[in-house]
This record gives sequence, C-alpha cells and structure tokens, in this order.
Amino acid sequence: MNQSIRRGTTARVAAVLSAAALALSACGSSSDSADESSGDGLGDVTVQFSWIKNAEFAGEFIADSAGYYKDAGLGKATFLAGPVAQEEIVATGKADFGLSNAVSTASAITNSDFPLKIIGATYQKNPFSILSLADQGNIKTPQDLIGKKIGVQDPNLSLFKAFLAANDIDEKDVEIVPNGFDVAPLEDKQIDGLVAYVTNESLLVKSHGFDTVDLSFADNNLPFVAESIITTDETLEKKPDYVKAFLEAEIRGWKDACDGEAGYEKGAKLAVDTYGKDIDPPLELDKEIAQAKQQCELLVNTDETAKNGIFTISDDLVQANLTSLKAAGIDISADDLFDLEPLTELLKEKPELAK
Amino acid sequence: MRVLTVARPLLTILVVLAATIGAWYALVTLTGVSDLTTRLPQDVIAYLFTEDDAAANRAEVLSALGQTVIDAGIGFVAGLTAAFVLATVMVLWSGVEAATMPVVMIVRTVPLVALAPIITLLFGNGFWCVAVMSGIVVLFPALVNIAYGLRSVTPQMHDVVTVYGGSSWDVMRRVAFPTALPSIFAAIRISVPGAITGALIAEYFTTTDSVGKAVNQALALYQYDKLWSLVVVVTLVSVIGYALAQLAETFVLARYGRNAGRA
Repeated sequence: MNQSIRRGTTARVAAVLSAAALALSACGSSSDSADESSGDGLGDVTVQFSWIKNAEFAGEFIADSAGYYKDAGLGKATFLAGPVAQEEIVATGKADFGLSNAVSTASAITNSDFPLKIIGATYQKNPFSILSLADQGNIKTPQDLIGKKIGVQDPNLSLFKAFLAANDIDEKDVEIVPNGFDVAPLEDKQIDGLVAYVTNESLLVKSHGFDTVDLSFADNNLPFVAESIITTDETLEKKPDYVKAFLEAEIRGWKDACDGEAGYEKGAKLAVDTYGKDIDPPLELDKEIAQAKQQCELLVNTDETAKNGIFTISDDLVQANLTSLKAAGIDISADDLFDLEPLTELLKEKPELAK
Repeated sequence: MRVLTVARPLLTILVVLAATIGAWYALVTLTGVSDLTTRLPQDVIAYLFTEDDAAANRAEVLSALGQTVIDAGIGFVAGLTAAFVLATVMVLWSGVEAATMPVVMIVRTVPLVALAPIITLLFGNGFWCVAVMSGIVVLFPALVNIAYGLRSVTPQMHDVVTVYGGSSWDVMRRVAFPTALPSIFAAIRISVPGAITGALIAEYFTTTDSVGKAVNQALALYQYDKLWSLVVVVTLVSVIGYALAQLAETFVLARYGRNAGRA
C-alpha cells in the first residue's frame, strides 16, 4: 500500500517535471517568435551588460530614457546587469544583444562554436590595465611587473598571461595572486597591482585618496575592442533591420553621452539615480561623472572614430585585434569574429550618425 | 566470500556510474538547456580520447586532476588525523569536548566560502590553506562518527579492563579503538568526497593549476568540453576513492571486526 502511494507520487512528480520542461521549452520558442511579430514595430530588445549598471553604460541609459530605441522602431528595452557570461546569454537567446570584449567573444567562438559576431564597438581600446599605487607597486612599464605580486581575477587570467607574453615577460617572474574584483587588497597593500579597468577601479581607488598608476593593456601591445556589441548569426541573418535599428539607437545614445560635460553628467546621473539606484554599495556621482568623461575621452572617441563615426572598427583595428588574440592563443579570422556590414550600411543610409 | 568482498565495491562503482550517466542524459535532454553549453558522455570521451587534440586535452585535464588529488589527499589526512586525535581526547577527558565542540561548530556552521578569505589571510594561499580548508570539510562528520564509535564501548567491557587494573587509556587502546573500527571506516568513506569538495573550494583561492582553478578558467574561456571533462574525471576519482575505502573496510573488518572469523 505504502509502496503504491509512493510510486504514485513519483509518477506525478515526473509528470509535473516533464510538463514544466515542456512549458519551459514552449516559453523559449514563444518569446522568440514574439520578438518578430510584436506590435511594437521591430520588437523588444534585451541587452546583456558586461558589468553592474554604472556609467559604463551611459549611452544605453540615455538611449532608453530619451526614447531612441523607440524612435528607431524598437519596442521596450530591457537591460541585464553583469558580470556574467555574456556570450552564453546571447547565444542561448536570453538576450538579443550583449556587450563584451573581443577576447571573450573570440574564445566563445573558437572554443565552443558559439554562433556570434561582433557588430560594433563602444570602446575602441580595451580599458584593461594593471592598477597600482604610486607608493607601493608603482608599475609604470611592463618591465616593472617583474617580481611583483599581481591580483588577477580568474576570468582575466588568460588575458593577463597574454599581456605578459605580448611584452616578453616570463610568467615565472611575476607572482599571480587570485583576487576578486575587490580593490581592498590593493589598498591594504597585500598586492602590488591589480588587473582593473582604467575607467572603473582606477577611478574608484583614486577617489579613496590614493595616488594611482595605470599600465594600460591597449597601449602596451595588447589592443582590442571592448564593450563590443555581440549578437547571434541568426539575428544578423533574419533580422538585419532590427540590428540596424539597435545600432542607430546605441550610436545616438552614446553621441549624447559623450557630448561634453553635460553629456557626462546626464549619463552618470541616470546611472546613479535611475538604472543603478539599487546597487549596493551605492554608486558615487563624482566617480561616475569622472568615469563617463574618462571613457569618452580615452576609449569611445579616437582619431579614427572622429573620421568614421563612433562604434566603427577600422580595418587596421580589426587586424590589431586579431594580432592581440593570437598573442592570447586564439586563432580566428576577421570574418569569423566581426560582421560590420549592418553598421556600414546604416552609416551609409544615415551619414549624420557618423558626425 | 573473497570474491564477494572485492565484488561489492566494484558493483558500487558500476551502479553509481550507470545511475550518473542515466541522470546525465535525462537532465540534458529533459531540461532542454542549450546544447551550446551542455555536453553528453560521448562528447567527453571524444574530447579526452578520440579527437585530434585528445592527447593534449588529456594531459591538461590529468595534470589539473593530479594536483586536486594531492590537495584532497592533504585535506583527507589533515582532517581525519585532527578528527581522530580530537575524538580520542574528547572521550578521555570530557572537559575537552565542552571546550572544543563550540569552536568546531562555529567553523562548521559558517559556510567555508565565507571563511575562505580569512583562512587565506591567516595561512597564505599555499599548502596550509588547502590543508585547513579541505580539512575543515572532513573534520566535523569524521569527528562525530569517530567519537560515537569510541563511546560505544559497553560498560561490561569497560569494567573488565578496569577490574584488571587498566587505566582509561587502556580501555581506549584495548577496547574502544577496536569497537570504533566500523565508525572509523564510515568516517573514512564519507571523508573521501568531503576532502575533494574541500580541495576544490581551496583551489579557487590558490594559484596552482588544479581542477578548482581549471573549472573557473574553462568557464571564462567557454571551454565547455574541458569543463565537462574536468567534472567527469573528478567525480570518477571521488567514486573510486569511496570504493577503495569500502574495500579496505571490508578487509579490515573481516579480520578485526565484530564478526571476524565467523564469515
């Protein structure tokens, strides 16, 4: 008797589970089709960020609040905070677009055949750096790394090793210490340097009253694009207009975000007061403004984007990316990593975006 | 009887493997998770044995596994030794139990990942970090088991030793240890997966190439073949370790256990 009751329960649990699985898969396919047939023109858009919702995404916040996504014919925009595996989220359809960097995306494509492409880049140069304190590590050149204790986050380990290789420094000469994204070990002088973002941790430590030194990866033989926009091959093939509409809204948002002091402040305020208001510990407005300014001056706007428009990736830059990737042990062709066709077409149709 | 003693752990391995592989197929196919990130047993076999780069892949996975086995070994020995000594002392002097148990409970109740930064601060991120973290996972269940075994000496046996002028240490040595053998082996068996868990957590905070480290990096680089292979080999080692402990238990208890010589 007891036995049969239990068996009955098991059968029911199994039935519920398989029903749930069916429902889940049904959800997956229905949301896909909803994207295409939504009443809001080209459909809703979900964007996976690479980091918490701070001023790093000033352009996206402005594009949303100023209605640029809607203007371009898109529906509701949803932003997902990182850090996560952006490539996985986008490739499995949990987001339509993602912001990542060339190394990460190229890894996903070469190591696991992810059907993804980079379609434009917010940051022309990657913001990675070795952050140190002037009175401790004082790491100004790659040679200064020798004999130092450097905090490296696991996800950035291969990148850090590529940086060493690109500068002919033997891994054995540097002491690598596992570290999170926390800057405390650096400030407490337990480590001499930390893999960081010039636009983020560097400014954060500076705002705590420390005299900081940055050793930029991009300026020391490891240039590659970052906050690069990724989407799937399927989206590119089936919904070219959707892709172009998204790029248009993004470019408009970022042009506003980098439009002088007023733009920096607008983006930073949106991050602090609206999109990132739930972040704990709370974002600091001054630091966010400094970040918004730094990223525009250092990473978004370059001589090339002045000529070709922001988000563009020149042929030279594509080649420089591939060279860096090779240094990181990733062998990939330009066509397998980049698809700049929609962006080129968009800028041809609407040349005012490139100005 | 001999055949049976060897056959039982072997059978355990086979049953566990069959069940795991069955559950693996079922989970991957029923949940409908994207096949971009999931791998099936044949993918792991291809990665480790039949692909062009199989030899290189195998070398990478095995070198990481080797380090993890060493790390788990350190934790296993450290945790069991500590548990054995503590249990013995606790049973001999009951005051010790009142003094040590709260500390053990604290160490055990606070999640290891939360304690880890403190442990790395105190012990650095080398050998001692691994020994302490992996040891903590092993210590508590082993301690409770072994102490229980040592206490299960019957009053009659206790009296026999004391009547002949034996001290409480004699009771311990001549009666309690043999009586506790089944509990000690139970402790050893559950310590195998515990030590591996502890080692994997500790490796997250250390620098050497190991499974704990490699899993994180493989995840960051989207090397899902490698990731699944690492999970598979470390699980296999855990199952084999458990079976070996079971085998040792069967042999030792056949000789020294309660039913020794009766078979």
